[in-house]
Amino acid sequence: MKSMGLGLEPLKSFEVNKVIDYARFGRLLKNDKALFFMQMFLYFCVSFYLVSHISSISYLLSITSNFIFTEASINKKEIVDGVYFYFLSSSGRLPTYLETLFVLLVCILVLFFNYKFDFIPRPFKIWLNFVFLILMLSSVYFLLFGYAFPYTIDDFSILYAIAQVGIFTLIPFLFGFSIALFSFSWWVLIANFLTFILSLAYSFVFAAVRYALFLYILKNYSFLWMANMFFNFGPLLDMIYISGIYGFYLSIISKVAKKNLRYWKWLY
Amino acid sequence: MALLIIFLKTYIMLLVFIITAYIFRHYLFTYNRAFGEQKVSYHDILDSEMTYVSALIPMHNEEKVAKYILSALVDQDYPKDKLEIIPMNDHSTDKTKEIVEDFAKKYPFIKPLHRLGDEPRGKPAALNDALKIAKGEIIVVYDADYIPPKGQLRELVVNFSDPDVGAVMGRVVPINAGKNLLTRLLDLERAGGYQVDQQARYNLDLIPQYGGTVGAFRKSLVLEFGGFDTSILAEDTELTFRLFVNGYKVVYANKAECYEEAPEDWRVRARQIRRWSHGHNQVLFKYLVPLWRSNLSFLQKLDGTLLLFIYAVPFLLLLGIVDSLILFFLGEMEILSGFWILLGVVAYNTFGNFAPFFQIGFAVFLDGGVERLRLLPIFYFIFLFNAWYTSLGFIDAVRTTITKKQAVWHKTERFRSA
Repeated sequence: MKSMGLGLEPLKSFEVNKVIDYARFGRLLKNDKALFFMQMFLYFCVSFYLVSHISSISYLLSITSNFIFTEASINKKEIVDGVYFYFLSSSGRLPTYLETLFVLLVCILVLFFNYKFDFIPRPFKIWLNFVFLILMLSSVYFLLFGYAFPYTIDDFSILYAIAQVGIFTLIPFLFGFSIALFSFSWWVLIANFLTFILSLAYSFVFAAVRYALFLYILKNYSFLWMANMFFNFGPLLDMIYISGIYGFYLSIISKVAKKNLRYWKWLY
Repeated sequence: MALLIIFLKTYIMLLVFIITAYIFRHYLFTYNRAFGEQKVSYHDILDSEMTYVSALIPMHNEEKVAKYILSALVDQDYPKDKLEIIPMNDHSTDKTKEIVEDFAKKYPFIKPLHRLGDEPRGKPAALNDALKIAKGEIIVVYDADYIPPKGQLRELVVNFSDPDVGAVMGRVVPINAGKNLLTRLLDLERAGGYQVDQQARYNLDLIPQYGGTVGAFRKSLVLEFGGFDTSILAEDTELTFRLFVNGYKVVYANKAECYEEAPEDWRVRARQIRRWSHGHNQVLFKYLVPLWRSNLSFLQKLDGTLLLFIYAVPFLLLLGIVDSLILFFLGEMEILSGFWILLGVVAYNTFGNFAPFFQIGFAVFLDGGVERLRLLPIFYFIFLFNAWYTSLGFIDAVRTTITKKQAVWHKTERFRSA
């Protein structure tokens, strides 16, 4: 292109491309609404399928966990007329007075050091405080009202399994609906679905291992740890791998998409 | 006891409902950015007559950053006969005054305002003083750590050719994103907040927010409103709601990108979000009723309400956690097994990082980010951090509202080497 006699260097066409490529304020994906709704429907169907096969899923979860934690047997409970829910059954124990006292002291010490010293980054410090605060509350509860603790290992086991199956049925909404927003090509659709299946599979394995670990702890190290299993290492922890897989997957398709202008359209 | 349990369970269910409403809102925003029609801010006609502008820079001990913002504003392509720059040296005890005076000697359109002695310190008070001497009808505000690109004043100011526009807001981009984990996470948070949230709210004619920096407003309107309320720490949020309630609109200019220095230290970040939460909740208490009495559309009122409550919900969430713990030890885990999943997952999503992971992910994707996206799971650890300091801010706001005590402005520490 001529510089129109202004004494400027001629403008090269690739420079224009370069400018457009990085104009992030005006970038838009060439998304396809039909493909988006198709994905939404697909993920909705998967969730519906999971809900309608709740018995088989709970059974599968139980036998997988039982494979790791062998000191339990598979039991079932009727949750709705004719619908059975499978879970691992075992025996747990209440903490002894001495171990409760010991844990309480450790909690107080950790909370004190956490309060006094500032070498741990704050978010981790607050998270640690939360973990030990719940453990401390649990210890105080067992010291004062341990005899009245309202749960058995089976109660926990059923509720854990229900919560986990709940997570499986939420993944199509939480993860599926999130990746469905990327519908700028057919290959993305396939990649989306494969990643979704991968996340479900990961969730299943994670849930089974955690199930076995929790029951092992409750059986061998008492119910003192139950509250933390629920509040800190329960469903919230599932968000780490869900957002982790999402982020990792997105980083891959982003790398491909940013090199291909055909996936993009421009506002200007 | 039965009544207490019913109350606690009802609270949990209500909280799940509220937080789920937020996640729907964020999904709607992300959907809008993915598929909706995108609205752009007003465009400049290069030879158009530009209006006189006053650029205000609140400064309290800004020796580390003062020269950068002043140089960037001096370099603006805005006609210098239509521009005045007013650095507001607000009780600085470092070399801010000397730096500002050096610039003023070189450039006659830099007119420093030194606030000393018994005058109350803080951004709203300083802005009120500056408005008394500012000659421009359009006031552009930059925090001292910002570095605006050359054409930004034009991009912001041109929006005021529409008489209904009361304020305009640009996009904030951290310049030190690669410094450490915190700045990287803040970079992601900002991307989600601007590229998706603000743009979608603008697209959908909801309530895009004037953010108090990289923004501009009409002086006559603010003076008509009686100036900034010095008891409120979030003068930006207050102005947003004042404008909407009075029938004006706020434009979001996604292309008006400006670099800022994000906090590099968790302690500083904690103080910053606590202050934001304090100020934002003061605005909640003041504007919730006027918002619903205004002539705004139902959707604007709804979005405005959700926006006003954004820094109050983490406090309600912490109460929800206490509530859940009580229910747990009372043997009511059954309800929790269902609702805690939703409460935990949805709350994490919405308040762990002020935007759900999918909103941040989509924004960073639009920005062309790759490796940054892999940091998303780390937000798990920020969840309680944000909830805690935001809740403290909420308590501060309740206290200052009840006691009518003057809130103290805590300046955000700077990290740039001078």
